[in-house]
Formats: sequence, C-alpha cells, structure tokens
Amino acid sequence: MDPLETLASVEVPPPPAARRFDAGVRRKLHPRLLLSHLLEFAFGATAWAFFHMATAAGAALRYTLTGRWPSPPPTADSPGKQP
Amino acid sequence: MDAIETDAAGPADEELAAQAAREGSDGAAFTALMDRYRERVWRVCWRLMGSPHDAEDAAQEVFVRLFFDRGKFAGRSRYSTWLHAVAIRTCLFLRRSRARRRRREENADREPMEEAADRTPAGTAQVDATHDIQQLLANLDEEDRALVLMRFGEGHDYEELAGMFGTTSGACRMRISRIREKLSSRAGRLFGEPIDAKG
Repeated sequence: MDPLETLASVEVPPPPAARRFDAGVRRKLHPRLLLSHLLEFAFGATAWAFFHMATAAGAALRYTLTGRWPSPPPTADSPGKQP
Repeated sequence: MDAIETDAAGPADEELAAQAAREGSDGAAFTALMDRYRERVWRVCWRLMGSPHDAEDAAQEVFVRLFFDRGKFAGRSRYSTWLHAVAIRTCLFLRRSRARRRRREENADREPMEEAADRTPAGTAQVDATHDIQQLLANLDEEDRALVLMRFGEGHDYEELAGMFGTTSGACRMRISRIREKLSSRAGRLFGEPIDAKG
C-alpha cells in the first residue's frame, strides 16, 4: 500500500461545539474590529485636522509675507452683498 | 463534499459571501457561512496544525481573516476552494510563526531525518506507518506538507489543489511527484519500491 494513502485513514476528531467555537471567533474578532474602526477614525480625523491646520499655517505665512490676512469668503451678512 | 453549495434550501455560497461583504459587522450572512464551513475549516486546520488546541485556535483565526477579507472574493474559483486557500495560508502562517518562536525559545537539537528513517522498522502495521509518515512530513517544507495532507489526507483532486495553492494542476502533480521522491529517498524502507505518481 502507498504509505501516503495511510493519511486518509487518520481519523479527524469532531469539531468543537459550535457555540463555544463561535464565541471564540467573536472574542478574537471584536477587539480587532474595534481597533480597525478606531484606526480608520484616527486616520480620517488626522487627515481632517492636518488639512485645517495646513490652511491656517498657509494663511499665517501669507500674512507674514504680505501683511494682509486672506479675505474671508463673502457671506450673506457681508456688507458688500447688501443691496 | 460540496453538497451544501447545491443545496436548494439556502442561498449559494457565493451569494452569501456577497451579502457578508455588504454587512458592516458579523451579521447573518457571515454567521451562515460560519455554520456551513465550520467543520470543513476545522478538518483542514486539524490536518495542518496537528493538535486539537492549535487547530481550534487556527480555525477561529481563519474565520477572523475571512471576515476581514470577505470583500476580496472575486469569484474566480468556487467559494469553498477560496476558503480552503484562506485556511491553508492561515495555518501555514501560524505554523511558521510558532516554529520561529519555538526556535528562539529553545535551542534543542533536532534529530536528523536520515537517522530517524534508518531506525524505521520494515513491514510495520498501518498505524505505525501513519505515524512514520507524519514524522517524515514534519520535516518537509510547510507548503509541501500542506499539499500532501490536502491531497492524501483530505482527498482533494489536482484541480482543487491548484485553486487552493494558486498554481496549475500540472504543477501540483509534479510537486507531489517530487515530494514522493524526496520522501522515498529519506525513508526508502517505508516506501519500498518506487511508486508511480497517482492521478
């Protein structure tokens, strides 16, 4: 008999109880899922904060060079917009 | 083995996988996939890990990876083949990382394979032959060992193996043949006369 064929005769034990097994999966899954959500949030928040800080830093540099603050975008309350 | 896929009582695996990919968390579709594949993943993990404790740990890890990779199933193969590939990769990763850790922790000398094979008595009972084969396989490259176990332990054909190992069926056949030669040269008495590669 082919010795490798004997591997098929090795009996595989039954899997662990479904409830215990699934609980184990969720015990491993949930902390990683939480971590991935936190990382996703952190990277998103960092990008948002960086963008806003970069805008402010750009404005400060512009003020240093030109002596003028960039004019804010016109709003409905701006005096120039009033009839 | 894949009777569940054609089961008219429930949605196809691929359909469930697509639903699971749309779910934000481990919802009903993912749970249904776990129910379908728990035993099959367990079998693969038990074969590759070798102990019930490690197999349970690995099988749980497979489902965790499956959850994070659930959107990556592209439908190029059957879902069961893809899942087997995930299970095999996970087990290989765990075995390699554990082996590295073990090597760091203990510096025990391993018995050379040739000496072990020389002491193998000729004409042993099947149980002994199985034990010897397991010992021989333990000294193979991890991926070769997995290939042999999936082919001869689980009885997958070469087409399925090709999907699981990301290669062609011809390459799998060739690899099995080379592994057989390697094992035969290490433990000739166990293998006896050279055996033609199986179809």
